[in-house]
Amino acid sequence: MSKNRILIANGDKLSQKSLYEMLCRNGYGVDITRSLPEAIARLNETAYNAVIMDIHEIDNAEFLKTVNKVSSKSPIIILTSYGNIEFAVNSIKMGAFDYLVKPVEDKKIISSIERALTTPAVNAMDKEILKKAVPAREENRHGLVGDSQAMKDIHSIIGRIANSRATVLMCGESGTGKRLIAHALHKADKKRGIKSFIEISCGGLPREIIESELFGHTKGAFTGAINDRKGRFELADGGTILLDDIDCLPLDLQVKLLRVLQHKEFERVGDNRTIKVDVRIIASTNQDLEKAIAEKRFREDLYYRLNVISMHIPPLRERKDDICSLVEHFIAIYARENHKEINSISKDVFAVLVNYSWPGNVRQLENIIERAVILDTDDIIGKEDLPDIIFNGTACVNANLGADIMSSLKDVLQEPEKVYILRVLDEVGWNKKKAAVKLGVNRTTLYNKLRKYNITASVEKD
Amino acid sequence: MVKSKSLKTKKHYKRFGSMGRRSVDIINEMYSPIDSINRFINLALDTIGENSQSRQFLLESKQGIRKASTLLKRLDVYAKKLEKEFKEMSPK
Repeated sequence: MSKNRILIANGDKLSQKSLYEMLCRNGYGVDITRSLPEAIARLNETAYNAVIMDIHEIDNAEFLKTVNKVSSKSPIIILTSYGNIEFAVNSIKMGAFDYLVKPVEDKKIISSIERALTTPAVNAMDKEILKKAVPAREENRHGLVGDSQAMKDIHSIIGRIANSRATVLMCGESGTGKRLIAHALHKADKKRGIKSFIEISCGGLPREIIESELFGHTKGAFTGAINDRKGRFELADGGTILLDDIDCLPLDLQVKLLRVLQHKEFERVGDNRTIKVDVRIIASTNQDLEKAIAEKRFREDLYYRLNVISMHIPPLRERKDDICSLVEHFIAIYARENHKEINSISKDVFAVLVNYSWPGNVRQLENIIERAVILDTDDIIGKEDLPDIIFNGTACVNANLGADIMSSLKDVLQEPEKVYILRVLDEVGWNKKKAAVKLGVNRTTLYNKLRKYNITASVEKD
Repeated sequence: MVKSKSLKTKKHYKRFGSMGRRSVDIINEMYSPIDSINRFINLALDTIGENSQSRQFLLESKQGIRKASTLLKRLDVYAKKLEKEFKEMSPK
């Protein structure tokens, strides 16, 4: 959720564009400068978590002077076509954080950035930036925001289980931050934290693909398998794998996964050689797995194997104490990203945010704050910066509360959620892909909700 | 006569040394677009459907890029070796 800012300094246009796209897709905020002096000027006015310096011609003296000036502000990762040992050693001596020689795989760049972000200098810089942006910033442990009792419990569990090998099962609605918590757990693990964190959404891939994605395949295993390919389990060896939407995993693959959980071994599709891996498995779902077991959609033995440590991530409406710190956190991020100075939000806007039911949870809150920061014209976020749905949603909840005071909180909140989904579907012409994007949930979640609320073709026509 | 022949040979060495240097420079400059194209292919693979036919084209392009990169690396090692050898032999 938190966006680290990266500056791409120097380099040719093609290289800058490819790096920009790749880093954006990986969740970083990225700026580009065309030359080294421009990069220095930019670093003097804006703080960056890391700088990628793309050097396409060797000019040792001037370049190393630049490294020396810049590296005290942000860690520098040098990306160059010139694999010259002397140059590499000099760069590191002058304060560069890392030295990568082209052609370089994306994961190497990401891994270098992630290492740079965890250096004490960057953490100190981050604290300073956030202190400037929001003075009353809430405590941010394990990279997670919020100090409600629910979040405190999560911090405590992460602290206790981080260095164990235990499999973790995370349950919670879409948008509650399961992925972020899984990543925090991975980072908190001293041994695995420096290795890969691989995630796969079991709900987003068809049956034929998911097996080869998870376990890999050999050349010729099926039509289109033109090469040997490592699966996600192999890629995550030594690190952590997050199996998102585990309830969507087909039954036959559940058996294969059970074997990985029990013996840490498997075979690639089309191969009979057994591969052993050391991977911590984190599974997450937004469904009731016990119900899925009762409906024979999920294996009971797999459930017990996965459920060694169980974490329930409460929806945002059940931890409204966190809304304040989350709002501040997102304002700080998006104000910085959009070069705006926003000091606060008005009291009535805050009241609206607290009263809203947040069907899309933290992800929806983040989107709404990002929108508000972009639209805001003064230094305070007002009602005019929020979308109408926030006010309608609140009204809907209030109306429900008045109508049926004997209902449980869950029941009361279902109606506005249904209404909102219908409204968004109407707005996008019942294009479910677009609706899912607009709602800030993934498509599997939307389909589950459509099933849950019985929103079918007949309702669509109505 | 002998002295002039030796000088000619040394000049040849010098020329070969420069050619090695130029080759290294060209190879290094070629790494940059190869790196970018590879990254764009990865991005395209990330966004394209799993069953799309274009996926295969992209995977084959990726393989081609990898092959070109390997060839350049070999050439790089050879050119650097050549440059060093002829530099040592050429007149100061």
